[in-house]
Order: sequence, then C-alpha cells, then structure tokens
Amino acid sequence: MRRPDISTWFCTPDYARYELFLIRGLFALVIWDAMPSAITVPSDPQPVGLGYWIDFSFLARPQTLAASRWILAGCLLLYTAGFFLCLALPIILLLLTAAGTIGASFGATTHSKQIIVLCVLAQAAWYGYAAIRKRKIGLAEHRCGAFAGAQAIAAAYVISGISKLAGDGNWLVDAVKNFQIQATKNQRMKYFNALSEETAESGSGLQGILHSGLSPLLRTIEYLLLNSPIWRALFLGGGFMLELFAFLALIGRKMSLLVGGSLVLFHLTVFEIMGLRFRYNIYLLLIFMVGVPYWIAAAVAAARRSRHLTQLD
Amino acid sequence: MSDQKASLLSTSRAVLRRFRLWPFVLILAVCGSSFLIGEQFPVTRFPMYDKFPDHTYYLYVGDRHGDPIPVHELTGINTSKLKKPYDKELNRTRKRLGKRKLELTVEERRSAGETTLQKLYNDAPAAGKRQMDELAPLQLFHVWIYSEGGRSAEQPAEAVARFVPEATAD
Repeated sequence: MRRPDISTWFCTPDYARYELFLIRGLFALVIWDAMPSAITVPSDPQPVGLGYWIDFSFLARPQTLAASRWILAGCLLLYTAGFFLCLALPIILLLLTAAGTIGASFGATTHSKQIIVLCVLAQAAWYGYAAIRKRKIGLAEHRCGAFAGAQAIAAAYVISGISKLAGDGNWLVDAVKNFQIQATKNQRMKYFNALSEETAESGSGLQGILHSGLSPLLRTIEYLLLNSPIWRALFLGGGFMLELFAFLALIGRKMSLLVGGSLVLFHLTVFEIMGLRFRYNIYLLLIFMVGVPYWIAAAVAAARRSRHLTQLD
Repeated sequence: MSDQKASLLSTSRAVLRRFRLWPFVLILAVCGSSFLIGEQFPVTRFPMYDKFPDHTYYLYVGDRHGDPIPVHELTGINTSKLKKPYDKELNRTRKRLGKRKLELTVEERRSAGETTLQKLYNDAPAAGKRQMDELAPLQLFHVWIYSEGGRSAEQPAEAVARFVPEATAD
C-alpha cells in the first residue's frame, strides 16, 4: 500500500486562473450582500471593538452610506479582477468593519458576518505581506490569497470548537439535554406565523428551505433528534468534531470537499430543525472549501472540450 | 536581534516550510487573538450553536380576545423576527435591573412588549394594518419552554403587552 506523502498535505491547491477569478467574484457577491443598505444607529449604543475609539455612526447617514456602497462596489470590481488588491482589500475591510461595528453595538451581537470580515482580513494580510516582500502579484500569489481565505474559514471553526472545549465542559451534555427545547420553540413559532393546521398536526418545525423531496428524510432526522438522546449526541458530537478538526480541510481538494460539504450539511440540518441560520458560513464554505468555482470551471472546461471534439468530428 | 533569537526564528521557519505548516500560523493567530482580545468586533470566538439553555421562550400575537392571529400572513413579519426587538429590549431591562431574563416579571417585560407591537404595526403593509385595526387591541403573548424529564414543557402563555393602534384609539 502506498503511504501518503505528508509533505504535500497543507500545500496551496493548484487553483486555475479562471477558478481564482470565480472565487473572487463569488466572494465579492457575498461581501456585497453582507454590506447593509441601511444602518440604524442605536439610541443607547454599547460600543464594541473599534467602536470604542472611532465613532462609526457617520456611516449611517444615507448619503455617506450610499457613497460607501459605491466605493465598496468599485473595490469589489477591482478585487474580482485581481487588480490593486493592496488598496481594495483594506478599504473593503474598513467598510465591513465599520458597518459591522455599528451593528454589533446594539447589545445583542450576532456573529453571522464576522467570518466574512475574517476572510477579508486574512486575504488583506497576505497581499500586504506580498507587497512588503515586493513580490509581483501573479498566479502563485493569487493562489495563496484564495488559500488564505480557506485558512481563515478553517480557523473560525477551530476557534469555535476550542471555545466549547474551554467552556465549563458541559457543552455536549447541555446540548443533548436541551436540544429539543429549541426545536419545540421553532415548531411553535412556525405554527403561530400562519396558524397552519398542517404544522400543528405534524408537530414538525422544519423551515422548508431544502427541496420538498427531502422532507421525508428531514422529518426522520428531526424525529430521531427530538426523541433519542443517542442520535442527538451523535449529531451534535459529530458537528463539534467537524468544527474542531476543520483544519483538515486544508489537506487538498478531496478533504476540503469532504469537510466543507459535511459542515454545509450540518448547518443546513440545524437550520431546518432549529431555525438557526448561518448563511454566510454556508456561502463561504461552498466557495472556498466545497469548491463550487472549481466544479463550475470543470463543467465549463468539459463542455468546451466536448464541443471541440464535436467540431473535429 | 541576538544570534540565539535569530537562530530560533530561522529554525521555526525551516520547520514550518519543511512540514508545510504555514496554514497553522494563521489558525494559531486567529485562535490566540480571539482568546486574548475576546468578543470585540471583528475579533470573535465564533460561538456557533454554543448555548443550549434549559429554558427559552417564544412569542405570538393575539387579538382582543387573546386568540392567536397569523402574524406572518397579516404583516409579512415572522415570529422569529418579532422576537428580535423584544429580546433586545428585554436584555436592556435585564441589565438595568440586574436580573436574569427568567426572573423578569410580566410588568418588567411590558415595555419590551409594547415596543415590539408598535414596531410590528408600523412595519406592516397597509392591508395588514387595516386587518390589525379590526382585531385591536392587539396582545403580545410570551410562552416559556423548559426541559422536564428530557422533554419540552411549556408554561401558560402570559399576556405581556397590549397595543391599540392610533386609528382605533377613539
């Protein structure tokens, strides 16, 4: 049996040029979606992070926000094209941080967009480093840039797993014991949205985001998770292990697909059953780990090849 | 830089390069900064699904008789969105009074409830407003769910707030 070559495990993947373009383009769309089109400044702000030192409330003025969005659009175009990244990425980072800081100053911080900021930060740091080292930005540097994004995502999951370990140590016990409360809440809230008899009779709180053909499978999963502590432990424990060992996604494309795909499935299942959604995590996993740009690029290349062969015939 | 430090640095770089461990530098930096700096945007410990408390609650909106109304169908706002401003206000009250959320009385939750109903009415489309005017005064119900013997149990619904739209106030 051939032994795996460990020395190649954490190498930068050989992203193709057009794949890198797709990665940056799709990530730019996610960033654009994450930038709010209107910002409300809290009447009683509880500043966090940079908000302690800088009053970002000026960004909430409609004219300023509109101008910021234009600047962001310009920077995202530059980013997608792969030009002036040392200039574009810090501006994107600043705008996302400013908008996120105001959002987080409401007293009830949400964490949905921080993974995007972390990804931008990692890429900005890489291109900044490359600039300091006076490296000419070519294919190798862009590959490292995309890989920095994947590393940032892996880091976000690893830190999430470590935090659970560093807590009081009862995370899994509490999760298994109280999981069904969240699911019940979800079912009740769904019922009171429309007073649907079907929801009341089925007792299911599924959100219906996945294809209806998957409903029987999802209802079975929901039933097992609500009624069996062993299944809950397996599901939640599995999710926890995925978080803790998310760095394994950096071992080549196959592992990336396996770990990234499993995390996407985990997020979607939790969203369906508990209503907790982490849609930006899902988008970033699909782009940087599952490798949607790679599959798109591969499909386009295959189609081109087949057309070329047809023409030759 | 002393020779010893320079040698240590070059050895570390050689190890990282030899075993291709550069990705772990970023992971360690993120983990380290998260634990050192804490929850300061954009630095975070990414607490995903980390809280499974033994109690939670949900809200629903009722008409003047207390019968539930299909809030999403009338207003386009679902109950989970309705919970956000309520929860935000509840957190403020909780901090101000130095209590746990579970310990807040119905009276202490009233202001949060009124704000939520006002916001629901303001954000509803014109057709939804007209229907809500007919059902007014609207009532907001708060239901605690807790774990009992491995199963979910619910406390009776508490009417925390009433709201009379200005159009029907006379």
